[in-house]
Parts: sequence; structure tokens; C-alpha cells
Amino acid sequence: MNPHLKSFGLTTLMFLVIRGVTFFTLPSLVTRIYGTNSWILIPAYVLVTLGGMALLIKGMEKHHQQSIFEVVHLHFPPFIAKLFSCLLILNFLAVGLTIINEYISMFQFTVDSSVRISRVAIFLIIAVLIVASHGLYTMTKTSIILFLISFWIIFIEILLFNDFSLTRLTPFFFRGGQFNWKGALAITYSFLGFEMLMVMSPFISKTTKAFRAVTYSYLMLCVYFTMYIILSQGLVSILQIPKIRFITLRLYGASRFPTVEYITDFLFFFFIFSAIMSSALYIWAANEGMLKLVRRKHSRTNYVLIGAVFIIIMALNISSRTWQAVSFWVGFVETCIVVICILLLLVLPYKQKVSHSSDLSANSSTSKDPNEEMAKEVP
Amino acid sequence: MYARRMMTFLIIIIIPIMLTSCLAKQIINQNGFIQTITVDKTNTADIYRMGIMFPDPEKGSTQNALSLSIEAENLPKALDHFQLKTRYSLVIGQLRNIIISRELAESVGVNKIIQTLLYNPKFPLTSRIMIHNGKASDYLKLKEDLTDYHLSNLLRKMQNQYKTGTNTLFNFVRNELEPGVDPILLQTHIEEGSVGIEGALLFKKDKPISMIDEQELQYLLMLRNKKMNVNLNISKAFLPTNQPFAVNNATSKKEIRILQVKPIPKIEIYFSIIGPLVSPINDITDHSRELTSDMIERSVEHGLNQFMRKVQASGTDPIGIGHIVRNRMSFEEWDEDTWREMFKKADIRCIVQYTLENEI
Repeated sequence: MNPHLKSFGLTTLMFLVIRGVTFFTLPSLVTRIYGTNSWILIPAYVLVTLGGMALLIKGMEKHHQQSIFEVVHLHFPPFIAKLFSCLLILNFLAVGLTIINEYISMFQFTVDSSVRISRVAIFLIIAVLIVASHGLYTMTKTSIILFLISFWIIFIEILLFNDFSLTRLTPFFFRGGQFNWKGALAITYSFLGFEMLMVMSPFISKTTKAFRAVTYSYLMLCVYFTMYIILSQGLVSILQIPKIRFITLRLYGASRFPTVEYITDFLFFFFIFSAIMSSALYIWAANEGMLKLVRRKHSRTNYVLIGAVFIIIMALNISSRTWQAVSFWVGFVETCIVVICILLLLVLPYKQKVSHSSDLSANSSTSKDPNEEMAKEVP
Repeated sequence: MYARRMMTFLIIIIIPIMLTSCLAKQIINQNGFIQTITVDKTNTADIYRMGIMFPDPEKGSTQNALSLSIEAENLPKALDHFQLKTRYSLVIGQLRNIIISRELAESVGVNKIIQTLLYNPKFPLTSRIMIHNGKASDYLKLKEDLTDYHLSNLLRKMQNQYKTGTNTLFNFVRNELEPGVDPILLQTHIEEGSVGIEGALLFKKDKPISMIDEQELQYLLMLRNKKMNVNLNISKAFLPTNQPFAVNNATSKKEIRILQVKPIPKIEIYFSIIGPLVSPINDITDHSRELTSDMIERSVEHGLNQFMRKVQASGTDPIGIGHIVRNRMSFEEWDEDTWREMFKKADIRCIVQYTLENEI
């Protein structure tokens, strides 16, 4: 029998998932929207996110660690439950795909234009599906290793403080930015990731303090994001930052070290772990939802289908502008889903699982012990 | 089970490695690693003479450099041409020097040149950008690999000596876009087949407007950098001796204090210098024992203040005083052009405090 998720594994997994790939653009976005010294807003964003997570965990506790799919199937008529589950599944898959696309776009930006997005995507999609198909426990264990081999990069940034100027940071707060709601929402998406708890909850050990474990991830990321934004605003002028698409990569590119002069590729390589884990977790969550919808539960078939659909979508000639728009709307839907799910979990009363009810039990795996499920997934 | 997990882990590691490194098989000694790019003016507008230099990979020596040049609109077009002229695959990621002719920099501005070069994401932002008073392509005719390693080593040596560096592409672009500070670039020259630094050019936005000679370069760097290493010559006019002295390998720290912003900015720039005083043999130098820190301070202050007047007259602010003044104004009040006028009239005084570390 596989053990449930423990605190450290949950912390590392959520760290990699939330860090994702958006943090490459985050300093530019925050500066463009909020202007000077906008780094101060990062802790505020984290606090709001933690508030949302606290409510979500309260709701999860109320429902005795049932996943959102189980809660929905238990409370709503099958048609509505299936429709809502489909929306969740599609959104999770879309998030997984946009993460892959975003990483590869950056990869092309870093390496050169000879990189074919559709071809490189195949490799990344395969890697993501392999990780996702091994289930949550293996993902958590892998995340510990990946966390340990990629966390040190933050210390390289400290070397850049040589060139850092407080004068450049200016004494002004929130000046020179061009606030718009679209941008403010896009920043919010960078902090999403905790909503995965509503699918992961049955797999988390009862002794694990999920809130505390994920809060540690957010606190680390708060330091991480804040430091990158302070660095960006203290190294490059506020007029220049919004013009730079991937400011974090630019800072790496401008770093000069005694032995290596161009280290962007080397450092960028380590962020693939975040991209893989982040995308894999969303795809795993989508698969969990799909397993609740169908009678015959073939996890691997689902992953193969997802992979095929992803490869076809990546092979289509979709412009980068369309991807950006899709990415924004996927984030928007995800934010709405988070809010709705939190409300549902808080409002709906707890309902015990009915072990042998005809339709429900056939269509979902709620009656099973998650351990059994995990034992199947992770031999 | 352990083996499967290990296999999964290996797959996760191998796929990223495949993604980030071996995209195309490239044999290292079939690559021409471009070390230097030169850009010159032509008779046609928006067409530049672009030259590249790279070490001959097959001869295996840094003294065998190959060079190519062509008139082109931008670097990608020039590289397309160069690819047909050499059997080596040209690689831009190791570029060290960009040399632009002063004539071109003055006529179209450095920004436009940078725009014609920076198409490739691999283009290193840490490459050094320099201005040459003459034809930049003259560097390609040099038989030695002067532009490749010699110039690069010369700059690195300067950087180590002063413990500061300001000549990278990244620094130029940053200063150019930043409010309240103007960029500077080093000017190079060729003398008897050898390359050297002539001084620095002061820029207004991206166009060079005046030259700082090698004697004053150190003052410019002292004023621009918060902390650096300096070697200062103390004129005998300030000493009771018949010979000049020197302050060697001293550490200079700078602090700018804004006393008043309006109507005329009043600024004091404090330097705290600590280092040994180096003299000729004391036995044959008159009154060497009567030398005081105060004399050294007056000498350095005189040099710095004189240099400051020259910079103010040029109408550019390479020191970044505007940067600090801007922080004393309201956010909306700042205007780059108004600051240039204010800077010209500003009452700026350099004050030096010297600590005699030792007498050598």
C-alpha cells in the first residue's frame, strides 16, 4: 500500500507547480501594471491567495477530504455534475497545455528560431504524461528531487545585487504604471495552484497539515517572486522593464560570472522541472475527473488520448497572440472555478458516500479507498 | 518498483537534457565562433558595412583569425552572406566585441546600430561595445587576433584594475533608456598594429557628443561608480616637493548629497579615498616628510572639480546625478530636457577625504 502525501512532499510539489513558468514574465507584468516599487504587492497577493486556500481547506475538511469531483457527484443530479466536471476537466487540460506552450515559446526565445515548437512539444508532452501517469505519490517524490536540484538558482540572483541600485528603485510607490484589470488578473493567475488541493485532498494523509505545507510553498515563492521583482526594478529602469518580455531571462543573460559568461540556457534548463510538474499535476487532476465520468476506468488510455489531442493542437498553426489570449481566458475561467468551488465546498452540507448506489458508484471511484487507487497507479 | 521509479526519474532528466542541448549535431571545430563585429558607415542610408572576425578552428591557434565583411541592412542578412563564404558554421553566442565607427555613431546613433545587430536571442548582452575613431573594419585587417583576445583582455584588465566595468551592451542600453543618466562608451584606436583605449565618449541619448581623454577617464569612472580602485597622480603644484607623487591602488567610495534642487541644484559629491602614497626615493626628494593628507585632497579635488565643469559644459549627465535629483522631485515633475539645462547650471562641488594608509 502506498502511503499518503506527507508535508515536505506536498510543499515541494506545490512549490514547483505554483512557480510554473509565469514567473519569467511576472516582474515585467507587475511593473507594467503597478509601476514603481510594485514588488510590495507580491506579499499582498500571497496573503489573498492564502486566504482563499484557508477557505478551500475549511471546505475540504467539512467534506471529510472528498475531492471536488466526489462532492459534485454526491450533491447534484448526474447531468449537472457531469457538466460541471467536464468544465473542470477541460480547464485543467487547457492549463496543462498552455503551460507546455508557454515553456516551449520561451525555449524558442532562449535557444533560437530554428526550434520547432510543435516538435519540441512532443517531447515535453511525453515527459509530462509519463510523470502524470505515475500518479500523485510518484509525482510528489519526484518533486522533492527536482526541488532540491533546482532551488539553488535563487542564490545566483544574489550575485546580481552587485549592480543593484536603491536609487533606481526610487522612493515612489505605484507610479508610472498603466493599471488595467486584465493585467491585474493575469498577475493573479501566477499565484494559482492551491486549487489542486481540491482534487488531491483524498490522497493527503490525515496527519498532514495541508494548509501549513502549502503555506510554506507560498512563503518561499513570495520571497522568490519578491526578490526577482526587487532585483528587476533595482537593476533596470522602470521605463525599460515593461518592454522586456522575459525579464528574468534577460537578467540571467546580462549576468557575468568569472568562469561562464552566457548561462541563460544552463539556468533555463532547470525550470523545465517546474513546467513538467505543473503541467503534469493539472493533467493528473483532469484524469481524476475523467475517471469519475466513465464506467470503464482506463487511466493509461486517457493519458494517451490527452497526449494525442495535445500533439494535434500543438501541430496546428496557432499564432502566439491566440495562445496569449487563450492563456488569459483559461486563467480567468480557472479563477472563477476556484471561487465557485470554494463556495460550493463551504455551502454544501457533508454527504456520505453511498457505496452501492447504482449510477453514482458505477460512474465514480469515490467508494474506493484512495490508497487502493494509488496502489494501482504506482506499482 | 524501485527500478521503475529510477527509470521514470532518468526519463525526466534525459528529456530536458535532450531539449536543452543537442538539438543539432555540431562538431566544435567546424564552428566559427564570431569574436568581433565591426560596423561602418556606407554611402547608402540604412546600409552598413558589417564585418566579422573569428578564429580559424582548423589551425588551432588564436593567432589565425578569419574575417569577412559585406554591406548589409542588418546582421542576419550579413550572416546569410557570410554563411556562403565559409565552410564553418558561424556562431554568435561567443561574441566579445562590437566596434562601431564614430562617424556612424554620430550620424545615426548607437541605438539604430544595436537594432540592426540584435536579432538572435543568443546574441550576448555581455559583449563589449566600443567606438572607433576611423574605420571600424580596420580591425579586420590586423594580422594578429587583436580584436578577439587582445582587446577583450585589455578591457578585462581595466575591469580588474578599477574593479568596475561599464562597457557592455546591456549597460549601454540600460543607461540610454534610464532617466537621469547618460551612457558612456570607450573609444579604441589602432597604433602601430596594436589596439588600445583612447578615452571615453560621453553620449546624449545614443549619440556621442564629446570625448574624455585617458587622463580624465579615471575621474569619470570615479564619479560614475559607487566604489572602485584608483591610481591618482598628485601634481607637484599642490605639494611642497619638486616631484609629483602618486596614490596607488587606493579604494575610492562616492556619495552624492543633494543640498538643493531648485532653482539651481546644489550638489556635493563626497569621495572617501584610502590608499598608500607612493613617492620616489625619499632621500632625494625635498620636503617629502612635510606632505599631508590635506595636500593630496586639494590636488584630487582640483582635478575632479575641473573635470566636473567640463562634463557640465557638455550638457550630458554620465554620472547619474539626475537619477538622484529625480528622486527628490515629485514623480510628474521630472523632465529629461529640463534636467540637462539644470545640470549645466548646477553648483556641483567634489569634496575629497583622503586617508593615508601607508607611505611607500
